Amino acid sequence: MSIDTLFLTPVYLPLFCAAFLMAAKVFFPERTMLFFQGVAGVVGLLLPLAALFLLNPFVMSQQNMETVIGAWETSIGIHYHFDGLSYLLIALHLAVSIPIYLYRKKGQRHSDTFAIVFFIQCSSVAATSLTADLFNLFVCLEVMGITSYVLIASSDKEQSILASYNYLMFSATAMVFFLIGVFGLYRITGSLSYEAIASVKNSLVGSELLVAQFSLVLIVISTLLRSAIVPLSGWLVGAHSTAPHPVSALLSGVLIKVPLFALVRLLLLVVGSYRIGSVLAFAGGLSAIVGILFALRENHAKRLLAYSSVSQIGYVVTAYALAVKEGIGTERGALLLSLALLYAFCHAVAKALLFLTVGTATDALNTKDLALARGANQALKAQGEKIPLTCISFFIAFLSLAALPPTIGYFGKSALLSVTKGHIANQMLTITSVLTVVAYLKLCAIFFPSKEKIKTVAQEKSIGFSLRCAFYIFDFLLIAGFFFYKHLQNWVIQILSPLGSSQIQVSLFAPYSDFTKSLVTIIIAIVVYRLYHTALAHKLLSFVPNKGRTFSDLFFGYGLAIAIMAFQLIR
Amino acid sequence: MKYINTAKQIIAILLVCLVVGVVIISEHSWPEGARDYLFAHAFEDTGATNTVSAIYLGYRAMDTLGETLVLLVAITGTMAILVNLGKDTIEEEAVHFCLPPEKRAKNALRTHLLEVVSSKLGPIVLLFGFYVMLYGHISPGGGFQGGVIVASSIVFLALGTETKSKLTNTVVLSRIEAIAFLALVLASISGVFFETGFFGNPIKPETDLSANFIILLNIIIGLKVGTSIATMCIAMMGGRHDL
Amino acid sequence: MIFERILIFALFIAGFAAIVGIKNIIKKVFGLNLINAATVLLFILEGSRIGDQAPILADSVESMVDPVPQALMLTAIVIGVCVTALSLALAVRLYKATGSLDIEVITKRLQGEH
Repeated sequence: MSIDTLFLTPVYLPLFCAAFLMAAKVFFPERTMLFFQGVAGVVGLLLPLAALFLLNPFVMSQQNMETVIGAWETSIGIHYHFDGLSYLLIALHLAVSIPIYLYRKKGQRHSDTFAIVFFIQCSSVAATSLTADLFNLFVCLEVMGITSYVLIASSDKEQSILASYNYLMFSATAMVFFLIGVFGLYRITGSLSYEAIASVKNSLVGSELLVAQFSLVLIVISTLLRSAIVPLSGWLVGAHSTAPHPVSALLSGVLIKVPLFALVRLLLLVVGSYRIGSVLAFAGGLSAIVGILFALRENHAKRLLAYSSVSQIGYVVTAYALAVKEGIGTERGALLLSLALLYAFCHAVAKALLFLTVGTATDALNTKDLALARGANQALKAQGEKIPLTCISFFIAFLSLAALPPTIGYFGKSALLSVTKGHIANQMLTITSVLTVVAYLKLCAIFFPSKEKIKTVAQEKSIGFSLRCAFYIFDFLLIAGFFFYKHLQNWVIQILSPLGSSQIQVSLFAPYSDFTKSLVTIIIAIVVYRLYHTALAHKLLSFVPNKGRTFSDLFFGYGLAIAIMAFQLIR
Repeated sequence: MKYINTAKQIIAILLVCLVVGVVIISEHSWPEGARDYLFAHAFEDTGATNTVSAIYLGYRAMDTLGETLVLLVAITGTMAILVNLGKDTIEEEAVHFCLPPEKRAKNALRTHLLEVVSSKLGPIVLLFGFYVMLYGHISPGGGFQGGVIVASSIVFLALGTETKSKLTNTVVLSRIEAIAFLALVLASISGVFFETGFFGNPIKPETDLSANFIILLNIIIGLKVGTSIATMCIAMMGGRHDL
Repeated sequence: MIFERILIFALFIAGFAAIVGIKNIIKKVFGLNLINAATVLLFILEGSRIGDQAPILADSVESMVDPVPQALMLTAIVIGVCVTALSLALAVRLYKATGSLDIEVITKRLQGEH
């Protein structure tokens, strides 16, 4: 098994499973579908994971591999580039998707269509991480997008149809702008692959350089739209809050991070792209604060989680932008990028677990309104849960997002905050950390005991074995990450660093001072939470608008983003 | 309040058009490198004289696979969204075209003229669709184009006088589609086992037969596209007795 | 030459203005189709400037047009059609749910019932 075949397995094995499930759906009767879905899960998700284990030594020695799909002559074929960053992105994706695939409730509608579309999405995420060709990136992003629209709309609620329509119009229009950007770059350089475009970038002058920079702006903003940075984040709240629970978990966990990191290679294509870093860092800090303020205003459980996703992706974007500003090839740039990726992993696992637990709990209580939802534990027990696993998993995920031990988020967030010091975004992120704890304390109310007797919803046992497995896997990832954090961080830095890990002194562990900082954060948060219900807080918060974004707001944000980025690049 | 909305829209349009305008309107000559390479080598590499087919089924076949996936997911999604619309009202049934035999006589829109003409046109268009599919490598055409023509011929047959044709039965069509998709994925993986890499042409060494891979891909894609679009059209026309 | 590109740019602006400015959800889909068509025309037009014969190899062909934009646009057209189909299905569903085709009315009616 050569490296050549191994690194493409995350792309074609899920496709094979999707085709297999489609054939099984039309040829075999309904009751055998569960068995086929199990087989497909093993082949499509576990075999690529095994391939990743086999590829570990190759990636640790920092080699990378550039191939052309189908072994054609290089100028016209599609180039694929496998290196440490692709490896880590695929690993992140598999780590989150496998438990989500296991999350199954009895009587879930459209479950076979969900499985087929899920596998196609897995394949497209892997292809996006690996591609080194502009038009192939367009096609992979379109596949990712269309699977998202269909998955969001599959929950059959009317709000989800509207959210899917908004996301579809916004994203499809942005992809047409992406095509115009491809037009600009192809016309100047004559090729679609990254390395061919990068090889001519230094010889561009005058109007050619201007067109190349504007084309890059169109491409970058259309890709960043999927990562939902302010001002491009209008679509995310509707989409993530009205989708079915495993779909929300997948979207918030994986799909907002992969396009961001796949953009790294694109930024090397045009001269002066490091200037994008400074404006992006500021946008990251702004996303963090704006997101959490809106989250504090919300009373709907899933909308609160969606706004919190907007806020947390701000952290990742800040570290990522600072890495771009320093230059990815330098030591400090590689360190920042590794920490951004690690924090993305912490957030992905924790947020996916939160969506699944809060979803299960609110389904049991039949309400998502935080003012009314209480006593989820009793309701879940009536549905067949013996130990309060949902509550424990929720609590572990809450600890991770609030950056408290013994979870991986504790080290992830403190490392990120300490290494981004010196930029104004850092202060914004610190304030956001306090407010995040407040918002999640508000969410904990679901599990407080209820005053009146819960009228148990007439649902048979729907907490099955595979659902519990999903929770166990996520809990394990969060807690094991705490104990093995140092090894994990060194492994990631070694894979991403151009010079080898011995050169980088990562002394981010001052456990006692970090712990006191966390304690201070928690105390301030509890004080703010107590003040939250006073009239002063209500008056302050009423300045934050409560309605969602309208359709024209989405495009206004898009226009602003393009203008700001274009101005930054050409000055 | 209304003016804020309009102002936002105008600002958005202006800012975007400024950037896009520069890219579109600027003057630059088109590069000739790709065209020269293909002029010299396309026939030896892939066996096809239609260079456009050589590109999208040979050099850049991965994009075609992605495009087929988009089509598959879009049609699956559209059917899932539309099928849940529930029972149709009397007014809606009156405009359905594709009806079971017992309801056809009462439908005002199905005239005898429509039925006779479309049932005579159907087989001819089907033949033309297969011609476009199979000759895609030497004249303009190919899998997608031929597939869409096949889909339209199936719609003609559904509008015609024939009531027991298997070709308009959505169960049969979905089976053909599933087999075609499985065959496409297997054809793309086959390159892995024949040492030409993912999506490589497995019969490449023998240049006499290397066009056959493109013909095979054209047939598979044509069947897949044709049957899935036909299923969607028949479902939208009201013929979804069995979903 | 430049005049043709200005016309395509005008078509592009018209489509984008339709998506942003018109409130009817089906007319927004028209706008999306317009900008897709403008992009396809732009690629094909620019690619055809370097030759004057169709890109099919035969003995009589000496200077053919660039086949790469044509192959890329095949993919782009199919993707555009698929997105149009899905968006129209969503629009029909929204109409059945709320009885209106105006996006602001739909948003208001659906936000009322959380």
